[in-house]
Amino acid sequence: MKGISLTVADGEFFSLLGPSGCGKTTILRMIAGFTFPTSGTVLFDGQDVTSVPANRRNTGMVFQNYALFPHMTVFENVAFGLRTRKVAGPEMADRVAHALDLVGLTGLEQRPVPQLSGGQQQRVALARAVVIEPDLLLLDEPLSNLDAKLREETRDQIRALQTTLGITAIYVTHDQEEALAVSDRIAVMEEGECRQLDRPDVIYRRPANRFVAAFMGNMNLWEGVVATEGGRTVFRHASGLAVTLPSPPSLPSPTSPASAPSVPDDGEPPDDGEPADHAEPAEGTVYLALHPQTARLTEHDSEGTVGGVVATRRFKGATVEFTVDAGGVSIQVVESAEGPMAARQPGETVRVHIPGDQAIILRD
Amino acid sequence: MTLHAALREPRVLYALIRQPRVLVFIPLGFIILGYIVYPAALVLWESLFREGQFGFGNYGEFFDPEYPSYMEGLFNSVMVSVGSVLLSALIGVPLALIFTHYEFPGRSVFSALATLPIVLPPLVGVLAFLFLYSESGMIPRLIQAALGLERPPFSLNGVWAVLLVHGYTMYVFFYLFTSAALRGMDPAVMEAARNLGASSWFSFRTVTLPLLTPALVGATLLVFMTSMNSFSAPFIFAGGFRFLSLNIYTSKLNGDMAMAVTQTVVLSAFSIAFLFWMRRYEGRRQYAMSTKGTANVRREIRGRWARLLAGAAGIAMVVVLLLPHLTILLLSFVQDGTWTHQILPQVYTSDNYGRLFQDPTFWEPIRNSLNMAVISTAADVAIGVTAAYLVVKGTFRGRKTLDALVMVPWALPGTVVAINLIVAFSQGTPFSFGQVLVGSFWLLPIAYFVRHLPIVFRASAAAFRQLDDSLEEAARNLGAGWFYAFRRVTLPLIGPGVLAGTLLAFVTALGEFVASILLYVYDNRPIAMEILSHLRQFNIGSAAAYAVLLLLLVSVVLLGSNYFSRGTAQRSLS
Repeated sequence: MKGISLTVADGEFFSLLGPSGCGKTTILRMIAGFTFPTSGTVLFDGQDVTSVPANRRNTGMVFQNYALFPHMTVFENVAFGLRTRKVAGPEMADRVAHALDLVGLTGLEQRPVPQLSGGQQQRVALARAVVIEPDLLLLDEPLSNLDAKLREETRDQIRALQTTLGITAIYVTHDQEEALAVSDRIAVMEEGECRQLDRPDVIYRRPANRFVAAFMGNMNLWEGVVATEGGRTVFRHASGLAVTLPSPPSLPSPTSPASAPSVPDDGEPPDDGEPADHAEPAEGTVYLALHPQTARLTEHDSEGTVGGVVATRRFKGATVEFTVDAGGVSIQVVESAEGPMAARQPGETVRVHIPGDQAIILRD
Repeated sequence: MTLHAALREPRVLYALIRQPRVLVFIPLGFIILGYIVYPAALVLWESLFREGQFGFGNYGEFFDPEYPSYMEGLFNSVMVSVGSVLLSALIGVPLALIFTHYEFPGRSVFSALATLPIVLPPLVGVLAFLFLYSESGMIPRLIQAALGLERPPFSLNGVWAVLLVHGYTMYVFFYLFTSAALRGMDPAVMEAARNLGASSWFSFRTVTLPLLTPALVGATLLVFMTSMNSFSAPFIFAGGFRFLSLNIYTSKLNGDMAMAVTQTVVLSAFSIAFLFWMRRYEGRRQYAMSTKGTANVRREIRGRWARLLAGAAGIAMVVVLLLPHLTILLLSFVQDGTWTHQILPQVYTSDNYGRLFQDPTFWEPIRNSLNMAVISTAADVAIGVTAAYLVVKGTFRGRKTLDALVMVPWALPGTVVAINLIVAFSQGTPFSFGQVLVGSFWLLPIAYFVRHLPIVFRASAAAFRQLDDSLEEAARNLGAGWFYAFRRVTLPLIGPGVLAGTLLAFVTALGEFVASILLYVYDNRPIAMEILSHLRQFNIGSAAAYAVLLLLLVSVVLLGSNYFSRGTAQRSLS
């Protein structure tokens, strides 16, 4: 963990996103009180809870493997946290019934948990975590043990539940699609460091660095230099590929917002969706990131296009993904399946339009 | 740093939270040091003194050709152990292969019965063999009478008798290890071999056998070790033959403690070397079994004659397996002193059991055994479960050492444990609070405790290993304090495994013979010693009646433990 400071607002759905081993689960376990930081503090509502034992923190955690008590029924599992809080009798039964209703498991109260399907076990774990009305809902890769279809459904259910109950949630995942779909804000982490912290749309559209760009999906990522040629700012790749950038180019300063994330106290996510326009002129090696769906296949040899040969074609239903080999540089392009160029086959010669105004120039 | 400031430092606080665990180490260390390490170390130390002279004099005598009896004992022990391994493998492995690969009427019954020799307490099994197959045994004399021979066609004694008893009781290790390995094997691997054109013999030789090797090595080491340590069979059958474990006993009886401890060290060295050799293989066995076992398809034996043959072989096997148990049952109805030269006992009576309700002294050995088994097992649970928790879930250095120290008594023969304790507690020590324990009630329960600690420890360690750490964390997260989480979550989940180990330790203590013969006093004479003393007075019926009661106790407890451990398997989350 290297100098991370995160502030999560009340009612926010906050995601920690990163590859395995980046430290996101460690942060979650520090918040839950299972791991103690060697230095630094954990504050709940401004109160230092760093040394408060896990059972006095009032957080509800959904474990990656659910950690359901195998010797108890569904009801007993959900009621466990209420028992420790000395909630008994009709109130306990009411709250368990309500929680099971929220996750759609009414009627399975007396089922032993080993007899449940994976999706049902996941929902018991969720009910068990929310029934105690926690100050904070902690979700540790809760969907990683579910199959693809169930994962999407459960993901939306978790978000809906969090919104309904108005609980603050911290969600750990390595799946960027999942994080983009549910989060209010995302912290993208690498090796114990936070590389970018922002709203999902900002992180997707304007990654702050190469790591985030590569992690957030199949972006085109080219190394090159930026130079001023005849009054225009141009990105040049070693293969000769040149992209004319709008002037001045959008170039985040080396001290990108990621290294000093800050949130206004009112809990509103910071509004820096637009690229920073005050960047200094680019020098030295830079990287150009481009979303494949902003590039276009075309027939015409016009301004801002480059010629190449279709190398691969993948039909994905609504879209078709192309890889075009443009003389030493490989360009990924996503076309609508209904578009005029969608039928192009490997081996055919095409031109690719690269919109300079959509390109993102990254320093690291 | 003031105390207040120190307490605000999370690391200091964390260390304090864990403080109770540190306090646990003190009693644990006291007991392990006092009753396992110190006695063994003292024996090693004493073996280096010969008539007050420090040196290797005792070992010189051990290896001296002028006193061949010591080396002869070692040699015979090793040879019989090699023979026991071969015989046990020859019975156990084919049995496992047949029961795993073929389907025939009664298969499941036979495969369950194949583990039957395990319930025979050591002395009882040997006695059954004595009455069945020895010179005056029923089987040789029945054959003699049936064929009208002048002399019994065969009779068991000496090395061959010891070998046969070992084969009968120890093939179970090969059977169980091989069966487990076969079950854990992915049948698709064998199918792949066949699909690639291998004949069934070729695929057995090149695929099945290599995959079985770790299990076979494990069983080999276990049988070799058990056989080296075996006492009851040589004790009854050896006659003029010398065995290392028996030599220790006779040296002690003759008052030659110097040679008793020296031979104890030699035998311990063998046993501990084998223990560590085995543990190296244990990991590999688990590795081999970690491939996902799909349903094993058994080939059905078809054809009338083949089925009949299989059935007949199965019945013959059951008879041979059950004969010792049945013999003991039959003999328990023989009136004492009436069976002399006849082939079968002539006079039957229920008096042997009738005395249960009339003779108050009849119950004494049973009560002694029960008392000592309860005391020693309670201590085993307290120490074994704590040690298992620390070894499995702890993060401190020295975990491996603790693991090894607790497991060592498992390798040590009962004779060795007994001699160690005699040497250590023939004077007052801090560990016995200054008391001399030799000659008191307490030395025998302590021996039971030391001998059976590894049983409880292993079972508990396995239970803790299966226990998912996140379950305790989930309980804590939901607001449970340490004790509440332990009581409601940890205990119910490890309970069945710990209970199974506890019951096993309990029944083993009930039938214990080897340490008992060296350590018992009149006030705590256990069942096994009572059986032996009746036998010496030729009260065969009374001896057998005690044996039957012991068998019943053991069977009931084992059935119960089986029931509990099955419950766990069903409840575990896949």
